[in-house]
Formats: sequence, structure tokens, C-alpha cells
Amino acid sequence: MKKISSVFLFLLLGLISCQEEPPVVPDGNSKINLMALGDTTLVDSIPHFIPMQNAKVILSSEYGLMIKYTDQNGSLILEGLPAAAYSISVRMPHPLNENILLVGNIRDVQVSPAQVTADTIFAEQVANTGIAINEIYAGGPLNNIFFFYDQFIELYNYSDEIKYVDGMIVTRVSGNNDGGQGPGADEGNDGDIDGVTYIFKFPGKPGETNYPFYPHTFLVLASTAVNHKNVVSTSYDLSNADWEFYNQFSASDFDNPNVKNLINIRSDRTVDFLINLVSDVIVLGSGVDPLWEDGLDLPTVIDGVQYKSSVTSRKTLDARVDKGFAQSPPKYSGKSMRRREPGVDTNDATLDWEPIPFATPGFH
Amino acid sequence: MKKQFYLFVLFWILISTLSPAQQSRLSSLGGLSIGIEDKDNLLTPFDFGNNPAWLFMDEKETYLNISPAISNSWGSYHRKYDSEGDMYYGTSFKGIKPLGQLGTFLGYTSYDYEIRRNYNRTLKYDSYSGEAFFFVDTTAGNFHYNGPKVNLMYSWELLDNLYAGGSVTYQLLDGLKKVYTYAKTIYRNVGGNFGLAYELDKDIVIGAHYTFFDTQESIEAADVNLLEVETFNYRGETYFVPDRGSSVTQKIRKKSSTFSGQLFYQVMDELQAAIQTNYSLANSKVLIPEGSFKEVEEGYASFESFDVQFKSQYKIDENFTAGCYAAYASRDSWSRHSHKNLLLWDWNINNVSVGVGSSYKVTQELMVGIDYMLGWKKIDSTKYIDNRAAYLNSNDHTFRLGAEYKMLGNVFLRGGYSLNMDEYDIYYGGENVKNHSFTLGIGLPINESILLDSHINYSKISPGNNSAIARSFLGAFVTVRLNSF
Repeated sequence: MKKISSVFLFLLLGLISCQEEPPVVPDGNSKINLMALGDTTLVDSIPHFIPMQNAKVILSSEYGLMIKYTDQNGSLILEGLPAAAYSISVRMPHPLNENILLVGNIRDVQVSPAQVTADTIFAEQVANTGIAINEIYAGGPLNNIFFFYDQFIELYNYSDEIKYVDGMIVTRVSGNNDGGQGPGADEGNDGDIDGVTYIFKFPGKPGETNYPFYPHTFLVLASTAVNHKNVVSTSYDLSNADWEFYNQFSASDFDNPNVKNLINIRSDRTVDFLINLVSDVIVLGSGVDPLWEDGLDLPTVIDGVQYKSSVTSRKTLDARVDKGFAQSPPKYSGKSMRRREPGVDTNDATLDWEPIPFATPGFH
Repeated sequence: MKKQFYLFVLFWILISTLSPAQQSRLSSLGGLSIGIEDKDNLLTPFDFGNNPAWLFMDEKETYLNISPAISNSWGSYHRKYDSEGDMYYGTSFKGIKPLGQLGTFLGYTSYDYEIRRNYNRTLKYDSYSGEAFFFVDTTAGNFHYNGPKVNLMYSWELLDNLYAGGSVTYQLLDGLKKVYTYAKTIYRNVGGNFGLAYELDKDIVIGAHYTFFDTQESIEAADVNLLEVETFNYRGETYFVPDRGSSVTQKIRKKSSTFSGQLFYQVMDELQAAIQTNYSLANSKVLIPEGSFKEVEEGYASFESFDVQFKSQYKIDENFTAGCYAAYASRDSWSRHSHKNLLLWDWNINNVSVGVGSSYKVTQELMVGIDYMLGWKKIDSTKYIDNRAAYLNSNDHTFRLGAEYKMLGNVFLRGGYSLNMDEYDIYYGGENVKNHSFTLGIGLPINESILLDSHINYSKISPGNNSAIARSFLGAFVTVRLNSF
């Protein structure tokens, strides 16, 4: 009987000793004190920072996005936050010029448990165009025949008003490599980006109002607007795309008559608008710069994104267009890349974009 | 007349199988348990303490219970991740076979089918088991679970007056959500139980047993159209980590060990008393795949509980039995985010309850019984990550009434009513909650070797501050007992 009791006692003590102790530090008690200052200079070269009142603050962490607003003093205090690495973006329209956005961000702010983290964000001026490149599907579907012709680019109108795409251009910027600073760099510091290799344009001229782009909607620009599932079953049906890149100088480019065309304005390029599967620069321009050969003037750039597969490869797109890069998924994976939130553009693609497992043409 | 009688029996089986649960005489008497004699509710280590070692002494007859059951629950009084209602069907078989001096064998098997209607977003089988982790998608939809359960128990006399017993349990459930994300669940539960009981003398029995469970729930959410599915791993109730992919999986692994002790004392022929106590340690791990083969621990929850119960019954005379009951229980739990080793939730519940009850044979045919229990609960809960804390006290009352009427031919009609009044409902969060429960049953000997026991149960629970919110339950239970097979 004593032996049996000893066995039970041994088991009990063994069990108790295996039980883990609770952590001593609780989660959910971190605090962020944030001050947002925006450069409002319009003519002077000396920055003039003012507190960003009622500015939209986007906090991104492993817990997703959190959207808050600064107070009248440009300050935001957040309490009771879980510990995480936060990337914080602040944006608001310029108080004097609605065509300018004040945008600032800081990355990977380590917010520790039970700690107060204080920081100041200095926002810079970027063009407030209302349109953003929202998704780029470049890598091709799952297949072993090197099929990638189902590429598309998706635009999003994040403004509250109708925009018009008449005369706008979509460019692939992959040149300026030989001796240059790379695709999308401002070679010679003359206020433009260089290396345009493909340039397709919407019909009409900038300023015309024939092709509306309704607020909070998407436009899918397909390389070839057909149902690609008929070729590769894992591909996507783009027969209902809004626009199709059509190279009128190509003898073989298929044209879906039911889908409106963007046409090629570089007659020396005789293939369809195809982009690199894992690394490229895409720029959307207003089309008011008629001389693309010497580079696209920066003020005419509506949005631009550089994507690449390796974090160590060179970032070449001018920082005034975008400071970061989108991480591209592997080629022939069927995966895509898009903004975390529709149209949320802080001019830092590293924060704004994420790879996603499947393409989402026309929706988010 | 005979035809009408069999039609009545058939009708009773049919309405009984219109709704889940345990089949017993006490269930049909409103749940009376303190001051009533019943062969399935003894104070012995097997009945009162679940010690398998005393099976050998408790069960001396061969029988097989076949118990179909059906139940339905519905109503708006539920939590965020509950279903709008549950439909349950099941049948169990329980057989007892005494093998003389070789021991006694108990075999149990069941197959259950459960439909959770509009199960809101959650993909876990049990969303509210006290952990700070929820695994949800974006839709509410019907979830179906079905599967078997098997339990084998054996008890024998190891040495003179020393009894040993053990059991193994295996349960498997397949779950399927019928809408996006079409989550599939495989729920597996393996358990074991080993105990000893020693008869110190004819009046005193002491016992101890050890129980363990190992449960694993594997959940895979994948859209049949090969599009992405979006799921959310909640840490606490506020913050979540989204996860997206063509297939999202999660594993929840739980382990539990319980040490139990029993003391049974036959003070005199008319008076008996028993104490039983349990100390339990359990943990739950949320595992998420990283790469093809590796799983990382996303969260960990620890559970520690202790309870002690005392029960005594005194047979005042042939017709009058009185009893009393007292219990104390304490449950502690905490959850952590494993990667950062941060405390998410910490809660503790202490429970004290006392009760008295009696049953009285008014005539040779009619027996009535009553129980009353008074309970005190103290809840201390801090959900750190959610920035919420609760310190609650609750005084709870339970009344039970039951009556049994013996008709001709050993046919028994039974009825019962119970009322629970909780100042604070720790499960659903309501205040001044009342639960009315009505039962109606029959015990019907078909012939010498077949006995039919059946009851139906209707209950309705609602918080006092809002009569429009309630949850109802209707269940029917049948047990056909074969005394030889």
C-alpha cells in the first residue's frame, strides 16, 4: 500500500513540476505618443513644418491595420496597445493646395510591453492624384510551360470624385542600366525619371472627360483580355477586364473587341505590354509630358511602383515617386502583389504593398 | 388494449427521439441528487468519484443499455462565437459484464451527430474553453460534427480488499463547415484512467485514481474553388493576426492530468457519507505550421483546478431519506503569447456550494423529492491584452422538485422541475439569469429482461433584465436496458 501511495505521490509531484509558470509581463499596456509635422512650403526652399491637424494615421503591424486621427495639435496618443513592431504613416491634404498631399512615415517602430514610445513624423509633399496602382500581377500562374501572358495591372480611384483617364500613360521602366543609375532614377538630376522601355496610353488627351474612373472603383488593365484558363487552368479569366494593352505595331497581338484598348506609342516596340515576372518598375503618368524620350517629368507622374524579389537588389526608382519597393512573389506561383488597403499610398511601397496568394482583378 | 399500449410505447420512443443526454431515472426527476436513493447515484468511489477500481464492487449484474438521444437548442441568448442553435443525434451502447473473480468489464460506444446552425465565424470545436485564442473566418454557417466514441473499462480485485481498475477512451469527430471557408476539423481525444480502491474494513473505502486526456483538434480551411481563404488568429478578443492562403491550418493540442481521491464511510446502516477530491493540471497549445514540416507554438494556456465534494445521506426511515452536500472548487487559468512570452489573460473562479435534499414516499406508489442548493461564486478575470478586468461575485440558488408514481405492472411515471437562479452567468455573461427546466419520464418494463427508461426535457434560460433574450433546449432520451445479452 505504501508503495502504491508513493507511486501516486511521485506522479503528482512530477506533474506539478512540469507545469509552466505564467509570464510576468502582460501584453496590451504599451503606449505610443506621436507628433506629426508636415512641410507646407509652397515656394520657399526652406521647409516650414506645421502640426498636422486631424491627419489620418495608419498603423501597420502583425495585427493588421489600425486607422486613427491626430488631434488639433497634430498629436496622437494611443494607449493599451499590444507589443509589436509598428510601421506608422500619416497623411493629410495640404492645407493650401488640394493637389498636394502631406505624407510621412516611419518603419518598424519597436513598441515594447509596458513602455511608452514617443516619436515625431515629418511629412513631405507628394502629388495628390486620387489614382493609385493597386495591384500588379506579373509572375504568371502555376504552370510548367512558362506561361505568363495573363499579366495585369489594377488601378484604384481612392478619391471621392470621378477621375478621367483620357490620355494617361502606363509605362514599363526597365532601361537606363548601362552606365546609368538604373530604371526609374533621375539621371542627371533634371527632374524626370529615365529608362522608359514600354509606353502605352489611354485614348484621348489629358484633360478630356470621355473615360470616367468612378470613385472607389478598380480598373483592370490586362496584357491580353481573354480567359486564360482556356490555356492554363490555374490562370485567370481576364475577358472582363476594363482595358487591354494592345500593340497596334504587332502582327500577333490579340485584340479583344469587347475591351477598350491602351495603345502603344513607341513604334520601335512591336510586342505586347509585358512586364518582368519578378522585378520591374511600373509608372502611371498623366500624359501631359509629350517628350518621354528624355524621361518622364516627375510632376506628371501619378503613381509609380518598383517591385523586386530580392531585398538586396538595387532600389532604383526615384524616391520622390516612391521610397520603397514591393516584395514580388515567386514567378509561376499564381501569386500577386497589391496594396494592403485599396489605394492607401504613402509613397513607400515597402509599407504599402504585400504579396498575396492569388490575384484579385477588380476587387480587393 | 394491448395494441394501444404498444402504440403508446412506440409514440413515446418517437417523441423521445425528437430531442441529447444522459439517460437516468434522476434526470427525469428534475435532476434530484442529494436526498434520494438511486443505484446509479451511490456514494461509492465509482459513482461519486469516477474511480474505475470500484466498478468491480458496484456492478454485479450483466446488462446492456442502448440509448438513443436527440436534442435541439435555439434562441438568442448566446455568445459571439456560438451557434444560433444545436441539433444533436446520437446513440450509445453501454454494457456491463461481471466475470466473477476475474473482474468486471464495462464497454461503452457511441456515435454522435451534431449540427451547429449558423455557427458564427469560429472554426474551433470549443471556442470558450478559457483560452485567449480564437480562430475565426468571415462567415457564419452550419457546422456538422460526427464521429464515434469508445470507452473500455476493467476492474478486478488485485489483492484482498484492494481493487484495481482502468479504462481507455478514444473519441474521433469529423467536422465540416458547409460554407466558405469550408473548414474541416479532425478532433481526436485519447484518454486513460487508472485507479485503486481499498476496503479498510466493511464500512470504509478509500480510493485514488489518475486520469489523463490528450486532445488534438486539426483545422484546415480551404476554399473548394482554389481561391484564397482569409482567417484570423485572435489573441484575446480585440487583436488578431490575419492569415490568408489557399489553405490555412491550425492545430490545438490539449493535455490534462487529474489526480483524484475518494473516501466512503458507512457510518451506520442508515447513514453514509463520502468525500471526493480532484486536482487537475491541463494545458492547451495553439500550433501553426511554419514551412512544410515545422509547427510553431502561437499560444499557450494553462489550467489548474481543485475541487472537493462532500455528500451524505441518511435514511430516517423506510420512506424518508435526507441528504446534504457541500463543495468547493477553484479554477485558475492564464494564457500567453508564446513567441513574446507575454501574459494575455489571467482568470480565477472560486465556487462554494452547499445543499440539502430529501425524498419521501407518500404512499407505496408515490415518491416525492426536493433539493435546494446555495452557491457563491467569485470571479477575478483580467484580460490584459483587451484592457478589460472583471471582479464579480454571484449568489446562486438551485431548486429541484421531482415525483415518481408507480403504476400497475412496475410502470413508473416521473416528472420534475428545476430552477437555477444565477446572479451572474459566467458562461454567457447574463445577469440575474433564470433557468427553468421541466422533465417528464417513464420507466416501463417490457418483459422480465427488457426495461425501457425514457424522459424528455425542456428548459429555457434567460437573463432577468431582458425577457426577449432566451435560449431553449428540448431533448429526448431513451434507454432500453437488456438484462441479458
